[in-house]
Amino acid sequence: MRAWMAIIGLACAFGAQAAPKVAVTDLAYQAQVEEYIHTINAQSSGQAGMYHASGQSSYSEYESLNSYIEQTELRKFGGDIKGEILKTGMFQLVQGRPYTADSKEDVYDVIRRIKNGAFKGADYVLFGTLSDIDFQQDINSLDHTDSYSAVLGLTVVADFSLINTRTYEITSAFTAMGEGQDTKLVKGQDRRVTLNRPRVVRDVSKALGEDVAQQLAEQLGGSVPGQPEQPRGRDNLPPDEPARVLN
Amino acid sequence: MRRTCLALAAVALLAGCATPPPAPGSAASKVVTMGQLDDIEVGQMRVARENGYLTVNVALTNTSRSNRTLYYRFAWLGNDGFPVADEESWKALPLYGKQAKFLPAIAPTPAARDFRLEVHTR
Repeated sequence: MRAWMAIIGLACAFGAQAAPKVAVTDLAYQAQVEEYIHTINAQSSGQAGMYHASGQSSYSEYESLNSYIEQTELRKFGGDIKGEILKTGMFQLVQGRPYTADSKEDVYDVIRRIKNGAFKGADYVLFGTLSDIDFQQDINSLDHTDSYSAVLGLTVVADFSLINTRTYEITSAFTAMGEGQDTKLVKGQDRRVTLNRPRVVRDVSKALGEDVAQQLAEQLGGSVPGQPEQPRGRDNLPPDEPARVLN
Repeated sequence: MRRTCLALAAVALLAGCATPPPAPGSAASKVVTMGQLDDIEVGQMRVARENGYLTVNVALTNTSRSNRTLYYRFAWLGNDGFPVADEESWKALPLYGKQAKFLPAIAPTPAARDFRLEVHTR
């Protein structure tokens, strides 16, 4: 009997220590796609003999404009988000089923996706939707020089919710941002300047991942590696002391 | 006899010149004069902990009729007496002739338990 109790106690202890499992979705977004088709078909043929002549011509024109909304997931920025969450040690990660063109459900309908088993084995789903993505490419003159600075910048803002897969309770919700830019000095003689786009994307991904991990830690009360633990409210502050006058 | 009197007078003079160290916990014990401090008197200090941060307000008086500039900075110390924040830069505080002024300061971190006020005029 005692042995059984010890075994159950140990199992409970290990169960309590195991970090909850989280599936991180790629950033969901929808875009309006327009298709314009214009087809012209013209044919002309003629025959002429000694006593007769015939001609035939046909012309057809087809024009269509299709517009539809495409829903999909942006797969570029997930890696660093997962990496930074793993670094915090608060969660274990499991891979969910990605949203593909064959998926029948709405990409934003996370509850249906949970019910359809897209995130099997996960206690929580970190559901991210893309709020805005913007590339900026500028050339600015530098005062008192004949040089210019060419800047390629990328900003990504995404909205995240950490959803319990059993109760659908939102445990944490926030907006995170990632920024990155590449700058090069340009002179008038430079013919072509190519800015390093992959590096900008990598920087944005890393910044977004760090922001996600930090905000998760702030809201759930954990610590981010490499940064001091965030005090929650006034709990960590020393108590106030009345004023005393030193002479 | 004369020699004895002279010796006694010299001993008395030396004893008068040696300033006793400031009492621990007094305002004077918190002030460190670096170089020279002319015509400025550091008076009472109000010390409190408000919203978790140590706050200090120091009374200063310019004892001369001329304007003076006081250069000062605070050193914030932890429980062990060692600094808990980066060294501050020197700040200048102009004091008009015979002016009395209060110098407020807030510790940059809640870890500060004590402080030193470093001052000089030249």
